[in-house]
Amino acid sequence: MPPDATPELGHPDAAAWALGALDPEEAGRFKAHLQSCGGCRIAVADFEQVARALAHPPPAVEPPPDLQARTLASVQYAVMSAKRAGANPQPAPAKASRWWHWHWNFPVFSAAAALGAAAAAIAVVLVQVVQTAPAQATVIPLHAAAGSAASGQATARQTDGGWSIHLTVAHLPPLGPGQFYECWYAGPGNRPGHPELITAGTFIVGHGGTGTFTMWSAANPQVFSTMQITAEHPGDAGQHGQVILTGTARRSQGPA
Amino acid sequence: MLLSDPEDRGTAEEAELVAQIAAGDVGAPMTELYRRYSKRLYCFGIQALGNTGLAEEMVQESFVRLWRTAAGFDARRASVSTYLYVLARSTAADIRKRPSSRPLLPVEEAGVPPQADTVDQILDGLIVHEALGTLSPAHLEVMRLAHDEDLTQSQIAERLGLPLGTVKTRMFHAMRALRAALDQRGVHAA
Repeated sequence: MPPDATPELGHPDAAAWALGALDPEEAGRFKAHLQSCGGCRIAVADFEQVARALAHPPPAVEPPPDLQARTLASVQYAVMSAKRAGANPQPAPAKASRWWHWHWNFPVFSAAAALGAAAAAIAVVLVQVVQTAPAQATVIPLHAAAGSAASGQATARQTDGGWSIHLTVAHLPPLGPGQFYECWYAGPGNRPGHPELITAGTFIVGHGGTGTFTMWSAANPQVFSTMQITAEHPGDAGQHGQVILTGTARRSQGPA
Repeated sequence: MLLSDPEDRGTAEEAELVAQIAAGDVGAPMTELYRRYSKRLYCFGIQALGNTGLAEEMVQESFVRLWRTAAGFDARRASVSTYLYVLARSTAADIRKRPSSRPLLPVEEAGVPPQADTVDQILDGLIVHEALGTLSPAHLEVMRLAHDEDLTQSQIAERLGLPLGTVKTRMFHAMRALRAALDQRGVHAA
């Protein structure tokens, strides 16, 4: 043990050896020391892992601004899917061995039974598709800037797989060639330069600027509580156009 | 111990956020954890997967897995930081095994270096560089001179006007703190 070693410090050159920070003479002495000191060999192995890690700095990049909204929406969707699965458990399948035995022995009757079973299965699926969970409705009144006659209202209902949005708009201004309207959910942190947006879909209206649409989104309007209708051009799927209508979700109501 | 007390308080605070998520609140607690960890996970994803689109997918899936497993998280066994790195590592491994349907933006277009060695070495790099931020200025300066300028301890002592013994002590303590950071996150010498 060198004279400047302390019990809690161990050999003072172990860390510097791993970093390659010893003078040549010191490095030679320490290398010789390693031949006979198992404790220092272990310490060096630990420190060399640190030194290798220092050689791999992480890239200096920022995640895209809209990744937060997409991530939170993914979590929300997973939560809703789990609730749906818990509320609507799949019926247990019939025992295959019995069906197989019956089919093998009664081919004519089993063919008819198979058709009947298929019809029943289709019926089960249709019931599950049509039937909705007791749907909470969130109403989002939409208003335009002063001087504009545009107006609208969205009603979002939680249902299988996400939120169904019933959107009505009136007196929207006419659009230029190639343009369309887009409906967005905005999160609480949404601001210029830091978008927190999830699209709910796009639509066009006739000359009267009026229309009724059904859209779909994974975004929970109680979390992404601001809705915006903008006029967009085809491009990179981000929000670039002027906000024509905007509104804030009211607290969830009972089934509407 | 070079790691500061605020880190301990932050660890307990984050464990409470996970507990809230486990209790069903996926709003503010999840948003806060995203704010704290998204950049680190994204950087890890870029290095581990070599692609910004897949890195984004990894970040999203990692937080979904956090929600799914939050009820099983035990703060006595690991920090939230460690837990998220474990989730990210397994998510990256799963993504590597399957094709992605997302349009892919190659790493070169994102201005980042090519994919590094193994996933564990990438994670080591992330953890250690994070831990550098917790060193005291005196220890960080010694490490910077040794690592970035390739100075020996004697040269560092001369540059800073310090006794050689002081430089040795600071370097040893700094490396030991970085090593502790790897140990805390469940990474051990091979």
